[in-house]
Amino acid sequence: MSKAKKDKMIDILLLCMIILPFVFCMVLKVLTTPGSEGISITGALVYFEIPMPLMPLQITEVQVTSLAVIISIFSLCLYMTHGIAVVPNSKRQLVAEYVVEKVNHLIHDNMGSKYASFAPFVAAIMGISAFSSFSSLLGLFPPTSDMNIVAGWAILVFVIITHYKLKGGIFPYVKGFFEPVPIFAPFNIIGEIATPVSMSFRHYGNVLSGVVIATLINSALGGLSEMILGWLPGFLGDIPFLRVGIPAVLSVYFDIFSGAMQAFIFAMLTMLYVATGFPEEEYEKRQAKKKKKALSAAQ
Amino acid sequence: MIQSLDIISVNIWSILISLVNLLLLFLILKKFLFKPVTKVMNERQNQVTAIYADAEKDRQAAADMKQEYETRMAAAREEADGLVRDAVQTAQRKSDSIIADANSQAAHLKQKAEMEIELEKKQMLSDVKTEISDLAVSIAARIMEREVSQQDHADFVEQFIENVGENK
Repeated sequence: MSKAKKDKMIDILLLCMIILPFVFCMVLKVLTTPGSEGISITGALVYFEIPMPLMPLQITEVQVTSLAVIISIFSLCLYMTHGIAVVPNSKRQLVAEYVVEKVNHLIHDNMGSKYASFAPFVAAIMGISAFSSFSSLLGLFPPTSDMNIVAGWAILVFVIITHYKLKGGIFPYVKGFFEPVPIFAPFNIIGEIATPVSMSFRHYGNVLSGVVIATLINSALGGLSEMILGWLPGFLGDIPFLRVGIPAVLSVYFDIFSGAMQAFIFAMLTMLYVATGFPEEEYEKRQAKKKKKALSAAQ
Repeated sequence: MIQSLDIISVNIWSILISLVNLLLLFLILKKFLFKPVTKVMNERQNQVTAIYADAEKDRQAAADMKQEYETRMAAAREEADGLVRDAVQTAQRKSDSIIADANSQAAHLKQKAEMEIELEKKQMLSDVKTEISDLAVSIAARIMEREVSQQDHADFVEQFIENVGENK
C-alpha cells in the first residue's frame, strides 16, 4: 500500500474516532431512555453501579459522555497533528498551530511567560468543558450539568492554586489566613474554600439552567403546538410543529454561547487564581535563602 | 428499568473520576498537541531565522559587489577621460608643430624666391649695363666718327651709367 493511501486511511480512521464516541453515546441513550409521560427534569441515567467503599460508584451517562469527550479530543489532536510538517501543507495543521498559539498567548497575557507550561492544562480545561457542554447539542446529557464533574475540575484547580501558594513556604501561607487581623481567620478559610465551590457551582449552574430551560420550553412548545394546530386532520395533529426550529435557536444561546462562555470563564479563573495566588516575593526570598545555605554548605 | 440520578447528587467517586479525566486530557494535549506543534513551530522559526541570515549575507555581498563595481566604474571613467585628454593634447601639439613647420617652410620658400628675384634683377641690370655700354659705344663712335678705343669708351660709359644711376 502506498504511503499516501495509508495516510488517507489513518485520517479517515481518526475522523471516525472523533465522531463515533458521541454516536455511541447517542445510541446508548436512545436505547436506554425510559419512555416518560410529561416533563421530568432528572439527572443522568445510571447504567450500573460498582460497589466501592464509602459509596457505590455509579456509572452514569455522564461518565460515558466524559470518556467520549476525552477520546474525541484525543483523536482530534492526533488528526490535527497527523502529517505535521515544518512547511504547513494542510489546513488542519494551521488550525492546530492557531489553537496552540492562541492558548500560549492567553497564558502569556494573563499569567506571564514563566507559566508557559500551563498552556496544555488551560487548553485541557477549555476543551473538556466546551466539548462537554456542546454534547448537549447532540441530545446527550452534558457532563458539565452534573455537579460532580465540574467539582472534580475545581478541586484539581484548587490543589494547583494551593500548591503554588505553598511555594512561598508553609508559614507565610498559614499566616496569610490571619491577615489583616486574627479574627478574620474563619472568613479567610471560608474564602479559600469558596474558590472551588464558586467555580464549580457557577459552571454547573449555568449549564444545568440551560438544560432546564430548554426542557421547559420544549414541553411548552409541544403544548402550544397541540393547542394551536391540534385541529389538523389525522396524524398531522399529533406532530408538534412548533418544536421544529425554535429550540435550535435557543440552543445557540444555552448550549453554544453559554457553554463556550463558561469554559472560557473557568479557564480564565484558573489562570488568574494561580497567577495571583503565587507569592512571588516570598518564593524568591526562599530561593535566595536556599542558595545561600547551599553555598555555605559547599564551603 | 434504568434509574436516573437526582438533579443534584454528590458522588465522591464521580468527582475523582472527573479529576482524573481532566489530568488525563491535560497529558494527552501536552503530548499529542502541544509537543509536536511547538516542535514544528520552533523548527520553522529556526529555518526562518537561517533564511533571513542567508538573505542578509547575500544582500551584504551584493552591496559589496556593487560598491566594488562602482569604484571600478569610476576608475575606468577616470582612465577614459585621461586618455581622451592625452589624445586631444597630443593632437593639439601635433597640429601646432605642423602649422609651425608649414609656416617656416613657407617663409623659407618666400625668402628663396625673393633671393632669386633679386639675383635675376641684378643679372638683368648687369645685362642691361653691358647692352647700354655697347650701345653707347657704338653711338659715340658714330658721333665722333672716329675710332675710340674700346676700352676707353667702356670705362667712360660705365662711369656715365653709374652717375645716371646715382642721379636718378
